[in-house]
Amino acid sequence: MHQTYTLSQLSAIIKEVLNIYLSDYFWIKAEISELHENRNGNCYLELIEKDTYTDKIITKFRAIIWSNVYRILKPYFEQNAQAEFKAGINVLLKVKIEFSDLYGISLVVHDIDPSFTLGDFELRRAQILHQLMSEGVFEMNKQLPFAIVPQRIAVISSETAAGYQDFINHLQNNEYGFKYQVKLFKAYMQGDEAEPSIIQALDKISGQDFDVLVITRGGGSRSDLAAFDRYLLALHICQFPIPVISAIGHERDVSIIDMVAHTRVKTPTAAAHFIIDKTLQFWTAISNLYENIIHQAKNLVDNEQKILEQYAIVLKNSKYVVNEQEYYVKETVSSIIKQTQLKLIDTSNKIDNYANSLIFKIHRRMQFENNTIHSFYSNIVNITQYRLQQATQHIIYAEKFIQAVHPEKVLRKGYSITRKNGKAIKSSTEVQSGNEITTVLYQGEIISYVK
Amino acid sequence: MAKKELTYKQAMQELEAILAEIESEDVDIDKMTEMIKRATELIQFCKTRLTNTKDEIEKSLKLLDNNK
Repeated sequence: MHQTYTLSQLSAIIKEVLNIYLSDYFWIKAEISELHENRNGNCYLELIEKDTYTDKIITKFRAIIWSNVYRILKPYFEQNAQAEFKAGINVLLKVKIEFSDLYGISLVVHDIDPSFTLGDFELRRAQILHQLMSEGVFEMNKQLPFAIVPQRIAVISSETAAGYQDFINHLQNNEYGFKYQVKLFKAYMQGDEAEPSIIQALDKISGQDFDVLVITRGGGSRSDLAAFDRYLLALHICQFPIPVISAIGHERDVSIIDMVAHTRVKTPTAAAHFIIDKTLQFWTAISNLYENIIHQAKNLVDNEQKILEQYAIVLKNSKYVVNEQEYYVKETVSSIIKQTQLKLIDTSNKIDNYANSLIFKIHRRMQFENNTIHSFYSNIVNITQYRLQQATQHIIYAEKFIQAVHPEKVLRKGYSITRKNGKAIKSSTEVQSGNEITTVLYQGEIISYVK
Repeated sequence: MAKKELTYKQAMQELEAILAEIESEDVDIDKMTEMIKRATELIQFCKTRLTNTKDEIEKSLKLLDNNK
């Protein structure tokens, strides 16, 4: 007879065995196929393992993260794995096997290694990126020239998405008044249908005339981003003929679409700003050019004006110079005239002086000569007269003397001359008695004899 | 007796000699008369000479004055 157990007895046995043999922690890797948070904050997971080749689920476990752990683990994971903690990701979990009487075996999660998930994502993305690069398309969209003024804008989004509305509002109500032609191409932005519907939209747009394509979703959406890490969509974006702006609206992940798009922005608003900025750059460049032209023209005019003013000053100055020269010339001329006049006067004075001096000297000389002559003349006259007078005196004296001594005169006075033999007797002794003597009177003679 | 060769100076010398002789009072009266006669001639000669000289001089001086 078989020993029979009740379920609870069996359950107790399993618990015991688990306690003895599987009481340790295990690190397990699995894909989260389902995730559910209940009101108490506990998180219930369905973990699966798929066959590498067939992709069929080969193992499935239930797992639970108690709220006290989940509160810590979820942000820790999301921050470090740069991924949402959600269904569809592969995770490395530290678990303990628990057995419940009601629910059977489940895994209680105590810890999680975010680097595993990150590595897993990265591995898959790296494969896609590697493929895109080896096909030479990775940089293609980035290398497209961006329109100088992006005004015709195609948008792939879902019409109802808040992100699309944000984009339109920001774009059309820009503070500069720039106008844009926006055309929406509807597509699913999440879920399995997202990739084919976006590719379909791309095909529609590529035949039309647009400056830029914006792919956007609502900001803050926590829905699945897997579509934006898909190879086929990435390939379409790479080869898209106009620049693509990805504005998928999530902060942490950089999707492959983000990487291959011409420009990646975080939010639809940022996309609008980017386009407005481009336009503004053009506008500013134009304005700057305009201002530059005005400035240059103004400068040119100002410079010319300054040069003219300087010329004017030079001309004015040259007038002064001319005036000065004229004044100088006049001064020089008048100085020359003055000097000449002075010289002439001086020379004339000198000549006059010479003449006067000469005349004076001649006069003096003549006077002197005159005086000399006159003096000679006077002397001659005086001497002559004196000599004549002297001579005359002599003669007069001689005459008077002669007259005085004339015998006739004596005789007239009664005197007489007695002569003996014709000779005058001066003494009585000269005669003797009887001698004839003749007395001569004034008139007549007496002849007598001495007694 | 007056000769043309006689100069004023000779005349004066002769006259003065005559006067000196007369003054000496040794002169004989008769001789004296002759001496006086000669003296008078000499005086006349000298006077004439003087007059002539004076006239000549005045004539010359007049020329000078006119030429002044």
